[in-house]
Amino acid sequence: MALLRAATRRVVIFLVTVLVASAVIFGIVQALPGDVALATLGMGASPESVDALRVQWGLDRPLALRYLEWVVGMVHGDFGASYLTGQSVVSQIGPPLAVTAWLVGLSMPLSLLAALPLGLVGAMGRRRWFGVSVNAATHVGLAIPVFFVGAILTIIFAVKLRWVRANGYVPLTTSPGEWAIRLVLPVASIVIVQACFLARYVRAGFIDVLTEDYYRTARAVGWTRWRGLWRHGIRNVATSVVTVIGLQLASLLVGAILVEQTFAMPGLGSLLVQAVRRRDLMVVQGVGMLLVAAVLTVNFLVDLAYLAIDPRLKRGGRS
Amino acid sequence: MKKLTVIIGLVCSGLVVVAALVSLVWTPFDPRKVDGPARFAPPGWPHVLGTDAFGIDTASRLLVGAQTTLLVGVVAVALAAVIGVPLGVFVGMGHRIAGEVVARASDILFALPALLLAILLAAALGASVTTAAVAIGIATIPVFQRMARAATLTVMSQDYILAAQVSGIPGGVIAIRHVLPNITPVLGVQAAASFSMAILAEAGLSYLGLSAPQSTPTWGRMLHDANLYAAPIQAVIPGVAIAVAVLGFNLLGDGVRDYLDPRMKELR
Repeated sequence: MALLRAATRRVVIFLVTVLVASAVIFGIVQALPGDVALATLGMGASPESVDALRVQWGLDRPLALRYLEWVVGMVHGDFGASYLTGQSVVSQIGPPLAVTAWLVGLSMPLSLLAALPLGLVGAMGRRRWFGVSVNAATHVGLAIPVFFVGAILTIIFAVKLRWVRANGYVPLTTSPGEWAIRLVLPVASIVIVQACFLARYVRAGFIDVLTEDYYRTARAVGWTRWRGLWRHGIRNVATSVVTVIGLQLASLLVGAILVEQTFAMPGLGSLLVQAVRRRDLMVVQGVGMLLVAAVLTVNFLVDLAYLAIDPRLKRGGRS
Repeated sequence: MKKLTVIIGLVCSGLVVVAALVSLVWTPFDPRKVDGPARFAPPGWPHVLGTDAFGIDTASRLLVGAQTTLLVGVVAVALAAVIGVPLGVFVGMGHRIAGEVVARASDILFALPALLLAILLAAALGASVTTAAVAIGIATIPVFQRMARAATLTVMSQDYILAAQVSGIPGGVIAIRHVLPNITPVLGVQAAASFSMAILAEAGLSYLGLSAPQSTPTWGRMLHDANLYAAPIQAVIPGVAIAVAVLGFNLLGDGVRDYLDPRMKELR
């Protein structure tokens, strides 16, 4: 019963959060004093033509009404249409979504895979040279912007060695080989930075275990240090990594936006940046909403997962 | 080991500050002067770090770029602290409904990374350094709010707070006289960490062309403008500058934290 009640509460909070987020995004994009019609026509435009454009785009109608239309539309899968081209936002989001989804979808598991050994070695050798140097390396890795990593990889593998082409994107269905080749460097850039970020959590998770009694017991009954650390630490690490996974998705998306620029990939980030330059507000708020909703959804799912594994709730306690 | 960390942090962040200060009074060349024949000059003399695609002296642009970096960092962190800390203290001193509302608002802001928020703001207001700094500042509010709240909760469980409360001292006075001074060290550490995050976010924004206008030299913009095929070194120089600045303030924050928290010192 308690479980059901806690789950319902979380679902309600999640829905309210998404709704408020949509209001925040709409508020930022549409309600701030910048006049899009004026900006589009330029400062020299006559007031009449600016007014005419406003009417044409529906900007003369009340803000609340426009917000309601937008939200109701989104519930039905309609994100509105671009003011500039009249093209529906959904049709513009489709192809770039695939690019960004591949970038993020490949980077997330790979960075976790890379962070595990880094964190393990960093924890085990925390007072010796190899652990300290791994830790120092992750520190430096965290300070390097993802687009600089991309630039370095491009210089090494595309300019000097000429192993890969570092530009654009080819859909998987067109040519799997080309698809993979174009994704190698962008994904590697994100993974390098992201693995450094995660490795610190992994390391902290393993270090916590080193001072636990059960680890000492494991050592006393003859387990090697690595085996004890791995077997007991991995659970601890899993919990702390799951906690940051929503945060991680946010930084992966940011990483994707930047890396798409470096490698001229037609993803959501490129669409967003281009829309901002043209002040294509419907596209900006549509893509923005999509990205924020993705992060909120993952956070919500993590919350629910906690509910499922938290033994206190099964015994009827409070969450 | 700890000392070394702090020293590296001090040197790196000091370098950036010195670069910004020096550029206020002197740069080797005019950081905006286009010199066609000198384009893509390799590092040497008189252009110590070479020139970019327009023949503009890279060293000069690098020095001036430090100004924007620090400016955005200072404005963003100050904004986040000024709004986030009072909120966190207020919530931490125990208003349950306000606490819930603030926590949910923080969740939403957390889902809006600084870069994304800045992109949205740039769409509405147009891209500028101010937009970038304000956006990064707003996105950093929840970090300070949570930190201040957690620290306040710790302070509020102390006996001297109870003593103050039973002697009838109003909450506002307790907040200023007892809570704030006790949570300041923790917030200082957070400020250093947030400062480096702000630098990173600004670099990303100017890399996307959504921060300072073209005429203002920024490190992110320099990296974006660099031609990786003709003169790769021109991408490496601003990239290293960003990394040095971020690493510097990160290490500084870590060093102070370890100094303040003896438990961490022993364990790591």
